[in-house]
Amino acid sequence: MRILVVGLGLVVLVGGAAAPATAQWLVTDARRIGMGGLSLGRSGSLVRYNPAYRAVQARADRRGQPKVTIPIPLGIIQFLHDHPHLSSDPAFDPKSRGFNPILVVNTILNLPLYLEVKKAPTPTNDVAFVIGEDSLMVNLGLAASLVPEDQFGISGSSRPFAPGFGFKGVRVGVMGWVHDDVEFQLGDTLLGFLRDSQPARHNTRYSALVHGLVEGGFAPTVSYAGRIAGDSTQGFYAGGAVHYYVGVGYARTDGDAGFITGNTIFGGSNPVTPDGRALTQYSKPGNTFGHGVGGDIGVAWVSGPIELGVGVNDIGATITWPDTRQDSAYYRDSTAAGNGSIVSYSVPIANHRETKTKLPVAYIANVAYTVGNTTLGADLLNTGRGGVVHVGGEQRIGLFAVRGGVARDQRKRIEFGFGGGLRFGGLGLDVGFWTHTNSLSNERGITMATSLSIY
Amino acid sequence: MRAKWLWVVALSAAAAGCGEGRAIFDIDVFSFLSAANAASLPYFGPLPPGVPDTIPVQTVNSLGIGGSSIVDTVRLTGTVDFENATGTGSVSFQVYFDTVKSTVYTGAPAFSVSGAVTPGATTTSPFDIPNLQDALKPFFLASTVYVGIRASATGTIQGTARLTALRARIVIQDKIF
Repeated sequence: MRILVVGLGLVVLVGGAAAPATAQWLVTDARRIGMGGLSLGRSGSLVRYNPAYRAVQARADRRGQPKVTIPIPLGIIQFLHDHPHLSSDPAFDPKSRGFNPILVVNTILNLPLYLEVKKAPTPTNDVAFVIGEDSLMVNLGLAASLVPEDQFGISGSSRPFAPGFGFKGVRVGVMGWVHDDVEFQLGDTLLGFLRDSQPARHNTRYSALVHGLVEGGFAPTVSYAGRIAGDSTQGFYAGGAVHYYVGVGYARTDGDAGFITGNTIFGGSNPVTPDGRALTQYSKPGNTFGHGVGGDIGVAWVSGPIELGVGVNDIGATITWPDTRQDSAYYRDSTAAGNGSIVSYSVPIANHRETKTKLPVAYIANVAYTVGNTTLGADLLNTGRGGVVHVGGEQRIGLFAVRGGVARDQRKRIEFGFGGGLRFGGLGLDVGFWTHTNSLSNERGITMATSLSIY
Repeated sequence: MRAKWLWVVALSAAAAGCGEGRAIFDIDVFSFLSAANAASLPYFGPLPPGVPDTIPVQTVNSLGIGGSSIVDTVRLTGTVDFENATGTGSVSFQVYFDTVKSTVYTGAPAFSVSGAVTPGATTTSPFDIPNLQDALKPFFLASTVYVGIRASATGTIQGTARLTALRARIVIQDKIF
């Protein structure tokens, strides 16, 4: 039973938590967390999404930028203390009566890297099910508001490696690239059933649209980044890159899955008929490579205390896959409805067909202002699933630093960051606190991040 | 198995909100009996040989919550009408639950409702069982519960015991998550 709960249950849970997760969980720098996730200088997302920043000096003396940041994973200690026998912990064993899918989801979406100093409380409302011979209604109470009305999912585009060499701002290399995208959208009937407590109807399909895509490969890249005007205190920087994307493999599925109620909902032991259909397309590694051309562009302007930047990635990055196989999958167990038998098949409908995928265009804009020992900044990052805004600052007072910031995540929820740091010569210890909201609660939890910095 | 799919979908969203809350199942047992024309049965006192005093065992389908949950309370409410034709006496209306069809009538009844009857009159006996005995509570975690009804007469009487409502309110402590 609990194993099955994981299935679509995770859809809802992940749906609520996916957006903030993608926006937050990869931040491993307590300084950034203390500033609400703000990227400054050559830290965080700026270099990744703005090619001009490769030429901008780090200026460690001015912004207190460390050369290396090492996270101190106190959260793992806490997690291992709470779950000392992880391999046999019933909460993580789907076969166990003690299996807890909420804990599993929360652990995945909020990796226990940092210490959870205040856990977000989960709603405690009752959930009511009204069942009759020919009726079924679910009232989720306040939790119904957590059922996503719109499309929800997780997506990301990353560049796990980019070795290369350069001279005078020109760089030649090979970049690895990975793109994943998982999306769900509840159908009207299922949404009404779960969110609006509408009674289930006879012979009605309750379903959700499902989309999944993962693709990856490498891209020979030629890029340039340099200061095209001014000097180190006041300069205009530009950067750009041209990628020839080589796709090693991809898989994509678009489907619709759900269940159909029978003539009488509880007329038999099987009140519903599972039903699903999907079009799956894939080009396995070893097939003919996919290919495409795209580019990045960015500019940065540094003028005394002010720094501005804009960068756009993966412009026009459409990958053509010349050797794609397409399968149609269908499943329906109609015995419950009493009008047929199980129908289940997956058949190839085309092979060696040309298909295309598109990498999401990501962009970042940032501004920073530094005067004396004070640094203020803001950035906007959109990786294809909505913008994330960070506004924060840092005040250095002798050995100490005080930080604060605000972030608006992809679901337009406001989160807060605050923290501080202590620096002894070339070594610093930073602590940052960050509020976070997940799908299980409208109240915020607080995470404490710690890291060591080497200057 | 397929019933579980529906349960999965329902709990999918419930998962987000259950927390330490409760899952409450309000099952209209009467609707299942009524649909099978098993909500009433004649009674005789004394019972003639060869005449059954029970209905055929009926099936109530639910969502199949699973044995890992803990049933806190099972409250049963409803009404029985004793439509007495002749004689004066009393009628005992007994309801049985089990998860095994063949043993529904072998155990003690889940509850009984009694009513004094007089000739040509209908006696309405509402009932409210606040909490079913512990041994029977886990039955309501199964996807199928079997129900039986027995009507026993005292006195020389004849009539029909007619169930007009029977609802089971099952409160489950949140051991689902």
